[in-house]
Amino acid sequence: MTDRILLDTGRMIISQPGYNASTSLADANKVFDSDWAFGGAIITAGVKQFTVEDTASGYYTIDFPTALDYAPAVILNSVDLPTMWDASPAQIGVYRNRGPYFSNRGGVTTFASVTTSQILIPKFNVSSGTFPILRFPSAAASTPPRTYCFAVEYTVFAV
Amino acid sequence: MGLKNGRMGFWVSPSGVDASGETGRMVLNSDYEHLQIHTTGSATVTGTADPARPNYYYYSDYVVSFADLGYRPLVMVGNAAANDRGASIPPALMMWQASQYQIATEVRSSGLTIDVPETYATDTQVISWVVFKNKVYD
Repeated sequence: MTDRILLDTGRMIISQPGYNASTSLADANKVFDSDWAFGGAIITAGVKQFTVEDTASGYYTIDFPTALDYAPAVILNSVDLPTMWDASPAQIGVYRNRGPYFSNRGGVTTFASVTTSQILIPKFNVSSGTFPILRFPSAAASTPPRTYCFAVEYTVFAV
Repeated sequence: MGLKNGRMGFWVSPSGVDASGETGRMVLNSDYEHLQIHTTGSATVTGTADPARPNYYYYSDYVVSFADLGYRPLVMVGNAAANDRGASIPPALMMWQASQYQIATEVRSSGLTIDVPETYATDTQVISWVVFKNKVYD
């Protein structure tokens, strides 16, 4: 029988079936190694819809459950949600239409930035024509004066 | 492993970080979800020449089905030229298109509909997907 768990001072290794866990074991034969930078932990994930304010001052924000002592890696996607309207007879479904964007690890930094406690999406003027994709929250909102909205899917990783 | 600030759990920190802390980066943290793969796949698709645009090829939507999760999960979708070893995530062939176009994907609890993007100068591409068990939408 193989020893699949090594728990030592400052190190934990879980091996694949058939391999003894050891500090010399190749990574490909491990399930987990505490020396790895990222164990796949997700701090939070979800979607958030914003009403566009047509100003270039300030940020739309997505807050983390708690503040961290590092700025984590984030994947963002621009999405359409069932709470939006796109001139079709019915509300549209969940439809991811752009991305992913990796913020805080390169990528489209003009679209969003990440702090230790939140994701910041710069506010923008509607006429600017930049990301994200704009929709209407309802058919009524599509008539002048128009009210726009957009939604972002976010995944915040513990790394 | 044990009781930390009133809750039972399991925490593994990288070298130099105290696992008993609350704000430090953890390699494994039972307070959090962890990425779990539900299904992966890839397919080679063949396009149809666009009669209005020489050298461009368009594709039908590609539908992926998987065991119903009961919610809409986190997914990653990518593509690559058909003679590549694999697909890139984020998608690579978007550069053939105007910069505003990306792979659009409808996400459902039991499947995806991938709006396969046009290609230029090649009529085939590989699309790939990774569906995680992690919930993003209701």
